[in-house]
Amino acid sequence: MSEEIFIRILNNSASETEKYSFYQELEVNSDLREEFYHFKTLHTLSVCQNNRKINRPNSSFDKFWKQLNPTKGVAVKEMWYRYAAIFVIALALGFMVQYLISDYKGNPVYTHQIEYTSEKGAVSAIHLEDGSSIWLSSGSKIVIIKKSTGEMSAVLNGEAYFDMVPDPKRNFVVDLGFFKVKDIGTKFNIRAYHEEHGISASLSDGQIDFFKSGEVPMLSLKPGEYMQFNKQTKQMVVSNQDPTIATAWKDGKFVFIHKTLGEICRELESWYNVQIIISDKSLENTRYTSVIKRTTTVKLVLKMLSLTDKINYKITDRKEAKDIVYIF
Amino acid sequence: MDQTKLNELTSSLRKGEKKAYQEIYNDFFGVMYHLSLQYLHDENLSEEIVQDTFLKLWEIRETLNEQFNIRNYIYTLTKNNCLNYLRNQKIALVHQRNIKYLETQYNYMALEKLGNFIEFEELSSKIDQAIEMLPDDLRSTFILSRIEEFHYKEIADKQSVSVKTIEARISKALRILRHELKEYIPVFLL
Repeated sequence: MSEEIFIRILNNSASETEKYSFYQELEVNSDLREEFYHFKTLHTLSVCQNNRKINRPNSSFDKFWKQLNPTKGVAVKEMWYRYAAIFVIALALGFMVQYLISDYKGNPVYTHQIEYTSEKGAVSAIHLEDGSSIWLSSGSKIVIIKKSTGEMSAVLNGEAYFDMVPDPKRNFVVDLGFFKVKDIGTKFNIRAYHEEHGISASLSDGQIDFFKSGEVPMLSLKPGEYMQFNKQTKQMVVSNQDPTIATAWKDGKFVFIHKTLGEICRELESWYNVQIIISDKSLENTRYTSVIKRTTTVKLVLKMLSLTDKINYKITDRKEAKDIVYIF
Repeated sequence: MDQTKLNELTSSLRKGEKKAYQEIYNDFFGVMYHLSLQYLHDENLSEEIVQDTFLKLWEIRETLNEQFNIRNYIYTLTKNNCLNYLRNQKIALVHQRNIKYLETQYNYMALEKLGNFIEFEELSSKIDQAIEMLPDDLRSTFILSRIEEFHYKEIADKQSVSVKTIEARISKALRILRHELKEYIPVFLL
């Protein structure tokens, strides 16, 4: 019995003749039978195991659900409004408005809270009344809270570029959980995705201060400086870096500074709305530095990466779900 | 997904929450589909059988209690449905005694020996570790061969070796895995 036939049987690619000779032998050879049962089990379980790592698209469930409940298929429409803003790339921005009333020394303070979301694959621009602008990167969310007392704060999950008009009366603070960033009329970039291990900030113009609590700043950043914060060690490191690199995303470019292939793929996934699977784990930690136009296709980005190193890729189109990209 | 999360989903599902149902579906549908496909070799049929299982789960949702193990239920029901199908197929083919009959017969036997849910889960978790321990060339070939979209020809081209080498590597990898996992593979009564 040749090994290859055995493998083809498991893989369901054996020819009829091969099947015939294989199963004929199974009938008489009990050692082979035992081997077959073991291999079949291992083969099946390893295929299943591999499949656990692939996310199932919701569309598959939706279709199934519709068959199950043909009349109940109407979902409650969420209160999302969309508007387009003027910008380089395709834009989609959802926002939500909420009015909250809170007590402040007995006097009611009106809080105006707006939530902006930039969808995957889009960069959005938010223009504030005072002429300030905030650019929101793909898959980012920012909540801007304005109080009637003039204070303004923002909570960010994602990456944003702030171009704030100087205004001594306004007190603008970005809350990043671990610390707060106070701006005094500046242009700065903050990258703070919840799922990432670090937070980074870079300053193009003016000055920003970092606060933990209270009024004394822990650190101030000057133009051209780049701050990296490690969420685990809680350490801040300041270095010099061309601020245009950190903000190139808002001009429609991918920026990877000494990033691992794993990190890069997570960004590509979110931007191109594909699922990327790196089958060879040793590739995951290879580091790359590059600036790539986002308007290219995921294919071109992969092609570029494959030019520089020994990576191969394969794209599988799927009709009702995200395409899968395999890197090996 | 950990046990606390699964318990939460179970209680949400009992209340008929679509979201919980969807999460369970997304979590386990793919695995069960591929399991069925390995024995039935028919994509539509495999999908139907697994959908049937999930349908049953939805129908009995109100009877679920905290001790109920959803995955165990789905696994057992899917496996039994596949066994039923193969058994009927076997009966239909018994007079012909052709290759199809033998294939069905041995797939039936192999599936029967797959073990219960606990054995399935235990062996599944051990497999990943064992694959990690394989020599580099065997491991990369083996992992690629687990992805349905890849044909051996493609893997061979990418790795600049012959299809024969790929088949030999997979066979060697399976042999090593079998050796490593021997104590976890359910004992078969021949």
